[in-house]
Formats: sequence, C-alpha cells, structure tokens
Amino acid sequence: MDGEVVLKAEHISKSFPGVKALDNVSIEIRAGEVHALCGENGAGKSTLLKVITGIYSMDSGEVSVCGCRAEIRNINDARGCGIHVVPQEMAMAKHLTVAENIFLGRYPLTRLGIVDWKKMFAHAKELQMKLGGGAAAMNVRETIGHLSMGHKQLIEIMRAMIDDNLRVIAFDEPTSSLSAEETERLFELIEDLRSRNLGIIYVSHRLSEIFRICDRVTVLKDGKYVDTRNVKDITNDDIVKLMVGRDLDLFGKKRVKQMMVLDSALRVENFSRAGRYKNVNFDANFGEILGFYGLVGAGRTEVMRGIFGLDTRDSGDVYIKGKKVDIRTPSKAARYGIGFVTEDRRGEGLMLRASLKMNISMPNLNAILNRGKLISDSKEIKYAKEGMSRFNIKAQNERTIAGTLSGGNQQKIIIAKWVQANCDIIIFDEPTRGIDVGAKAEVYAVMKELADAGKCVIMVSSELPETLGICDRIIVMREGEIIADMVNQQLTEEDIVRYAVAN
Amino acid sequence: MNTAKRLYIKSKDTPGIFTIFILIVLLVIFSNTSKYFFTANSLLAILLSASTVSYIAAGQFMVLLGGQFDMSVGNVAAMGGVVYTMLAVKGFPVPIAMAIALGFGLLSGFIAGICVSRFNTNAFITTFAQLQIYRGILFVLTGGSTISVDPNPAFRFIGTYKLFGFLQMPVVLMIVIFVSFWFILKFTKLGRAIYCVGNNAEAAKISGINVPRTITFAFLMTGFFAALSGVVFASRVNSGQPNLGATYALDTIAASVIGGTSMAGGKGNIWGAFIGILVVYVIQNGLIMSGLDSYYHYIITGLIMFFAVLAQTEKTKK
Repeated sequence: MDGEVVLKAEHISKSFPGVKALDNVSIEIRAGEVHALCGENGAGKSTLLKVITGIYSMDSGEVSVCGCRAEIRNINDARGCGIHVVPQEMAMAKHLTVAENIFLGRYPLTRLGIVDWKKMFAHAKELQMKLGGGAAAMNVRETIGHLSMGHKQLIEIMRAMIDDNLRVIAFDEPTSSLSAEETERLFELIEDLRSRNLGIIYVSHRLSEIFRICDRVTVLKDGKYVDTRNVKDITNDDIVKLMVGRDLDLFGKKRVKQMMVLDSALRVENFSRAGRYKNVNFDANFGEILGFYGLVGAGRTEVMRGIFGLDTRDSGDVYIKGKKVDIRTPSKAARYGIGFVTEDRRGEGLMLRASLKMNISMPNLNAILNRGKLISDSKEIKYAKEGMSRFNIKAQNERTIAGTLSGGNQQKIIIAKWVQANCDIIIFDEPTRGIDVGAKAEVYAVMKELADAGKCVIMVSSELPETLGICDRIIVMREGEIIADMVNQQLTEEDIVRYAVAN
Repeated sequence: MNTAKRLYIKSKDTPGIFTIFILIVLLVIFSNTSKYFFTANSLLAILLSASTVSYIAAGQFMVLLGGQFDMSVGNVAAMGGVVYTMLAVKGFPVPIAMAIALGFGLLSGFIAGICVSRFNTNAFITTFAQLQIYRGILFVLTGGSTISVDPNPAFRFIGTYKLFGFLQMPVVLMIVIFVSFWFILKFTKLGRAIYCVGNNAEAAKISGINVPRTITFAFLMTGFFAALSGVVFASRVNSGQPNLGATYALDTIAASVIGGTSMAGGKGNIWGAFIGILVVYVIQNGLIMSGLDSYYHYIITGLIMFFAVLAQTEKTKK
C-alpha cells in the first residue's frame, strides 16, 4: 500500500466548448494499489482517464511517471510511459485471431518487413502463460468472432502487457457487460496485477466493487477533485455523499403496499423456448413492482422479449387483464398497453439524432394526429411537453436532440414515451445500467410513482440492492427457469443469491 | 459579432442554408461568365433539364432518409423509357404503355424493398445487382440503339405539354412531386416512420413501427419515380434510350448529400435535396453556357459534395 508513486497527475484542467470538464484535478497512483475513480456521470472520470492516456490533450497541468515529468500527447506516448487503458467499448477486429488482436498495429516483423507469424504466436503464448487463468485457456489461433466480453478484456490486458515497462493499467467500467462469473475472474486477475506491483486505476459506477477490490478511492464531482480516501476507512454512504455532495436516500421510502388483492395485469403460462427458457409461469399485477432477478444469461430478458413479440417462442400463452392475447409483433404489444424499456438504451431505445418530441411520440403517433389524420406539430409539442414535465426531463426544450442529454435523462425519455402512450404494463430491463447515482434515484422514484398510480411495473435487474430496494415481489430465474417467486418482506441478499446460483 | 455567431450556429442546424448559399454563389458566377445564363429562357431550360432527374432525387432522398440507398435508379429509368416507347411502337394505347412502364418501376422497387427489409440483404449490392440485370435486359430488348416513335401527340403529352402556354409538363410534375413528398414526410405517419426507421431501426421496431413495410415503401418510391422519370424523358425527346441514366444514381445521391441529408439515415430535408439537384444541373448547364467543357462538372460537383460532407461531420461532432 505504501508503494512508490508510479503516476502523478497534478492540476489537470481541460475545457470543451461550454464545459469545464476538469478543473485543477490531481491524483496519484501508487505501485501495487487498486485506485478507484468515482463520480457521477459527467464528473470527469473518463476525461481524466483520457487525458492521462493521451487521447485528449490537457489545457494545463502536469503528469509525471515514476517521478519524471512525462509529455503525453497521444496514446503511443502514454504506452511509452507504461500507461495502458482497457476501454469500456473494446475495439477488436472480430475476423482476426486472438494473437492478431493482441498485436494489432504492432505485429512483429521479419527482416524483410513481412509479418513474423511464428514470433507473434510464440509471443502471444508467452503472454498467455504470464497472465495465466482464463487467458491461458484461450486458443491464440482462433478468430475472436463471438468471444465474450470477458475474453476480449483479457486480450486487451495482454495488449497492455506487450510492453515490458507497463506500470499503470486503467479499467474503464470493466464489469458493465460481464456476467457474474466473468466479473469474479476479472477481480482475481486484478488482484494478480496488483501483486505484480502495477498501479491500477479502476473506474466504476458499482460501489460494491470498489469495496471489494480497491485500496483507495478518489472522488470527482463536476470536474473538480473532491477527496481521496482509504477504502477501509469509509462506507458506501460516505462515497455517495462525496459524489453527490448531499445525503441521498437511493431507494426512497418503502412503498406502502396495499394489502388488498391486486388485479392481474399480465399472466404468462407455460412459456418455453428451446435453449433459452423453459416452462415459465407468472402473474404480474397492477399496482406492484415485480422484480426479475438472476445471473446474466438466466433467460430473463429473453422471456420479456418473448412477451413483447420481439422473438418467437416454442409454446406458451399470454393473458392481459385475464384475456388471452396473441402478440407477435411489438406494435401489437403496444396496442395491448405493454411498454418495453430495453436494456440497450442507445441501440434499441432512442433515436439519438432526433428531437425529444419525435422520440416521445414515436410509439403512439395516433395521439398527435389532427382530425384529418395528419401529424399536428402543436399536438406533438404538447404531448412531448407533458411527458417531459411528468418525468422532470432536463432539456432546453422539446426540440433538443436526444443524444445530447445525459444517460439518466435519456432513460427518462424512454420511460416517458411509453407512459405517454398509455401503456399500463411497463417492462424495465436493467433500467439503471450505466447511469449515475442521482439519476438512479430518479428512475426508482418514477417506477414507484407508476406503481402507485396503479400501473404494472416489471423490472429485470442484475443488481441486488435495487431489486430488494424497490420491488414488491421478486422472481428469481436460473438457467431459463423460475426458481422462486417471493413477496419482498424480510428477504435478504443471501436468500436471493442462494436461489440465483446453482448449488 | 454576436449576431454573426448566432447566424453561423443557426446555419449549422439548417442544412438548407448551406445549399442555398452554394446555389446563389453558382448563379452569380455563371451570370458573370455567360451573358445568356441569367435569362428567363435559359433558367427555364435548366429547370427543364433538371426536372426528370429530380423525381428520382426525391425518391432517392426518401430511401436515404430510411437509411438505405438505391443504385439501380438510372437503369430503372432507362427501362421505363424503353418499355414505354416499345409498347407505343407496338401499337399499345399510350396510357397502357405508361401504366406498364410505371408498374415495372414499382415491381423493381418492391423487389429491392423486400430483399433489403425482410431478408436483410445489403442495399448497395441488391440494387447494384438489379442495375446489372436491367442493363442486360435493355441491350437484349434494343440491341443498344435508341428506339424512336412516329410522332404521336398522346405519347408526347407528358413530356412536352405547356401549362399556361409556358410551364413545361416535366417542371410541373417536379413541383407537384416535391410538394407531395414534403407533405408526406412532414404530416403523415408513414413519413414519420421513415424518419424513425432511418434514425434507429431497432428502436422504431420496438416502438411498434413496421420497419419492413416502411423500407419497402421507400424503395417503391424510388422505383416508381425512376420509371416515371424515364417515361417523361422518352416523351420529351420522342424516343426510348437504353443508355439513359448512367449518372442518375450518383447525381441523386449527390443532390441529397449537398442538401444536408445524412448518409446514416434519419436526418435531412426534402428541399435540401431539391436545391441539391438544381445545384448539380446549374453546374452542368452553366459550364456549357460559359463555353467550358461540361466534363468539368464532375470535378465541381465532387468538390461541393466534399465540402457538404465536411460541413455535416462538424455538426454531428460534439
């Protein structure tokens, strides 16, 4: 813990037009520590990482590596200084082999200037052995095609280890698309890297991970440095307080659940799809929040896609308000009042280059038609404004381009579009993934408000605290089957994990 | 200074302004290089020369807006013209000849639309394959030579009739088509669906928009209006030309790009495409009237496209 300082960044400032992204931020990383970088979206974590690794140039400030001042103007400079970043979105050439991806851009050459394949595969093998574990099990001659995110991360780490002088390795949200098992393996690997006396920067939204593997934590807020603490001296709430600068009750008050019998909104019977899910039966009621917990790959999203008519299924029936319905397309699902807030906000939820009003009116264009069946601009504006004020969407006006808003606001646009479309059964798939703590609290509040207003809210989540924090009832899935269906009273994390993980 | 800055920012949000600016610059330049250029007659002549292609530009714009493109338009136009002419020569009544020619365009668009939207084929390859097939059919049908018709007022009506004695039919059609397209895109659910699908097809699908139907509709439009373009052209010059339209695909894509349409789909303005096609033809005609080789127009159109694209990327960057 008291290793030498390998990386020191002092008084870093960086402005973009109209925004001061970093304002006089300093941070130091020691050899053999895992140093967490925390902050809300827009706090400047990624910008700091990009400045340190040469992707952005800083306006002022100084970076030194092992006590020597370092001029870092591009990625190669950073690599030369032994600083490497494992980005969140990994750039891989999917038709090339593992070895080629490791050495991408740095193929070893023979004297004739031709790629030295023998040397490359041999060197790749060496790196595998050095890293051990999952890395050693990979076949370097295989194309990476459909390798999992976890494997791609390993490739990225091997890339970093090509340089013998590697001193600092930075992980940007490394677990956001990993399964629980892969996450576990990543943690082991990080422990291993730490024991090699590397300095490790760890950026994550998931506070539990920070307590799990980090030694120190630096918190940023609005581009400014807040504090650096030893992890063992502080609590979860302390970090949250530092991040938002206020006490935040993430899940809010527990909903007072009406004890009367709730009306069935959605009933699913004998849902099966080979290889995905099997014999799934459940009821979701109006006025409740029903949570679906399980490990990644347990089949929760697939069931929801089946209900919504996005994928076909082998068998099974859906009943809405007690009536059997045949939903084969999303447009039919929407007509029956089902809304689907998908996990992939940018890929499946929003039109990033279109205005807010177009995004909000998209599922229900009929609502903005005038008597002549034509789109009415004034009706659309009114419709969008209602949605925006209802969910407190912070944007200049209804013509603002959706892609310019923060993750939390984007999520609220998607929610608004379904609620405005009069959906009374709303499915949320990982609704808080990748959004900051403040926005999370708002999304939870919205979900509770919807349930209070008598709507049926279904939430698929891989995060236990939120599942326990806001759901009235929790269904646990494992390997495509429902294992447990419980009222959320006096349930503990352990209870749920026990169901979710195979014995 | 502040006003200038605001105007600059505004112009970046409105791609049309860039295009209008280019058109005005071109008009000023050519008025100086040719004394015949800026006269009512020659401006009408330019409009006329741009008119038939402009129908395709409108269709192409719609396909681009939906995130696809159509390379086959030139040969569909040639097919339209040749079919129209050949049937007229064979003695078919003009309306029937026209209906069959236009029906061919719809069929062609339908095939492209179904392939691209239902079977997920690549639009470029699909329409390129169609282009090749039609080129072959055209040569088989005509042996590569122009087909002429005996003078026939009915055959020539749609290409040469003058409304109010001065406004040529092809120009009238151009105005009608662009106004209709503007109306469809701005006021109808179908038009909105094209914007949505082009922006994010997956999100549109989940929001209940019928993506395959929307894309097929866009291709139906390029097919139909390409065939119409060929028919009107054949009527205007009184012959069916198998070599018509070699540059149409590129000209119409150029028009949309110059007019600020995003090649990624979902963003663009029909009037931008309209001015864009005028720009392309003002360059061609202006050069000829100025006594310069019209081959230069490729270079100039290319340069303008280049800058139009540059102006766009700056806009999308944050």
